[in-house]
Amino acid sequence: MYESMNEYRVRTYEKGDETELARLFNEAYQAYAGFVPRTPEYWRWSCLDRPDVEKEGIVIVVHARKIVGYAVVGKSGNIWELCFDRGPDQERVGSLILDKAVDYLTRVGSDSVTLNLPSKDSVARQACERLGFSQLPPEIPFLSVLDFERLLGSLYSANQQRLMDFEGSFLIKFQDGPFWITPFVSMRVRNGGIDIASQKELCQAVIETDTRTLTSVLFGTEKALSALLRLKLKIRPLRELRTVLRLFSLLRVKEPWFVPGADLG
Amino acid sequence: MKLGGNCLAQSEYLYRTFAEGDEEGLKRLVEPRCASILASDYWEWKYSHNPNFDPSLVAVAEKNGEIVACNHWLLRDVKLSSSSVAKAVLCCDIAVHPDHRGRGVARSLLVFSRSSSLSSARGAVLSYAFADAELSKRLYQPAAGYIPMVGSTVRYGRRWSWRDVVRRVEEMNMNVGPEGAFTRRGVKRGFKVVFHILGARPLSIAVNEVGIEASEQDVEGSTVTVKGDLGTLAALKRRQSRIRTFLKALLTRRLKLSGSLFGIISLYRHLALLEEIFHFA
Repeated sequence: MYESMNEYRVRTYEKGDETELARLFNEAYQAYAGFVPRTPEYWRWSCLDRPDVEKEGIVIVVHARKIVGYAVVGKSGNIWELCFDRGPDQERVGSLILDKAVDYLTRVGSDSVTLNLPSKDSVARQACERLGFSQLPPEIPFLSVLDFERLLGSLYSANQQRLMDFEGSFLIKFQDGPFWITPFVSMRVRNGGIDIASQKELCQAVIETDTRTLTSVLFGTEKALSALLRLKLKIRPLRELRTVLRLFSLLRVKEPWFVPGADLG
Repeated sequence: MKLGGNCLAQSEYLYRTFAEGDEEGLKRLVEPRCASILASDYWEWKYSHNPNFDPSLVAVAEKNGEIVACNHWLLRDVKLSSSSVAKAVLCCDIAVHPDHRGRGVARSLLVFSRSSSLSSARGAVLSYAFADAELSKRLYQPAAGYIPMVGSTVRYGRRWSWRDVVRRVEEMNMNVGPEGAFTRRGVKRGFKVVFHILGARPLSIAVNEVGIEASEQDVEGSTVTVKGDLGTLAALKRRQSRIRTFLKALLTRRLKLSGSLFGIISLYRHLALLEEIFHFA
């Protein structure tokens, strides 16, 4: 089914689109963290095969033979995924997709629509507000770390460039120590590399904290300095304060966390 | 408490990982909580057909051989930054049979999932879940140290019809006669509230001699008028302490009432009824 609107063409899903849709999604949300990177296989499961999604509910906008945006709309009233190319015409493409999504939902007898957006995506948010959408209480993601050694290693790899000239050895001591977390994690950062071990070692600084505080600091929901002032983070000796704060500032996740509806399962 | 292999015996419950033949028991627990449009194939799609499904990451609680609670972990890659990914588990569809709630079963399931070394053997660094703030405060935060990632994802919605509310009211009218349960619960007759909700069409709900009426057309002549947005309405539906949320919404002007003092008192007295009406909307 095709429908033209000036140079933009709106159509529904066609077999083989998933590779292009997955690429577009990963590109559009490149600046965010927290979502599952799309592969054609994951996209087919999370969108195409979803019980309330039919092919007519996958609205695709094409411009000059290139897919520039799409929405996956479920008959339950959820827009599971909304994504569009951030080119010069992004506002128009965003509004067009949302408009077609609402059209589809009214056709299938749905009473309402809901969707998740990154809070920093002002273009998509304005498109929603222009179409009479109202903000709802969000589905809040809650996060818990299963393995701090692996997490610190991943964060180091993600920020390796910035940590090239950073050196130091640190022992993290967990005060709460839930059974699935090792009570000590030692880190040695030097020469652009990192050694992490789950054992007590002699280090230049000891960081005493609890798992929730460290998670908040590493994921950017709390600043290390604020945790320090709340006495939830203790650094010994105090002269290493600046080094430890710099370490957390370099390691922490900087990208905003965004969870599209399709990732909620 | 007894721990053996991948199972844990605690008080009268046995906690263990998924075993063949558990599917039907899990579907019975999980699918009634879904919207009807999703329910029939929901578990099959989400788990059996999921390319990343690992049955050993599903924990169940059983009593006398019957599955009474479950917790599913879905292993997946999650973006950690613009250039890196980490293995994570989505903690979802944690469900406890109503007869077994309030006995710490969900909490034990969360702990049991962590006691198994399976997730770390598969390289999972994080566990994440979606829950309302109150459930998280009661369950996820104390049991497993979850922190909220507030403010980065927003949710938008629009409602162009209240057909589901009208249908719900019709069902309620059929279930109780004119002198039925509503009257016994202190509902006074001759009350009409009109909702002007941003992001939705106006709606009136009236309680009169013939029962309850919900209408998208007859929105004039109300006892009290409520102005707000869909977000506030959703928050009112979701919160356990409804009265506190209602008063907070009034004080912060996210909900505005107009009408006589009698009308506003009547609205307050009808809150339980309104909650019942909007529950599935």
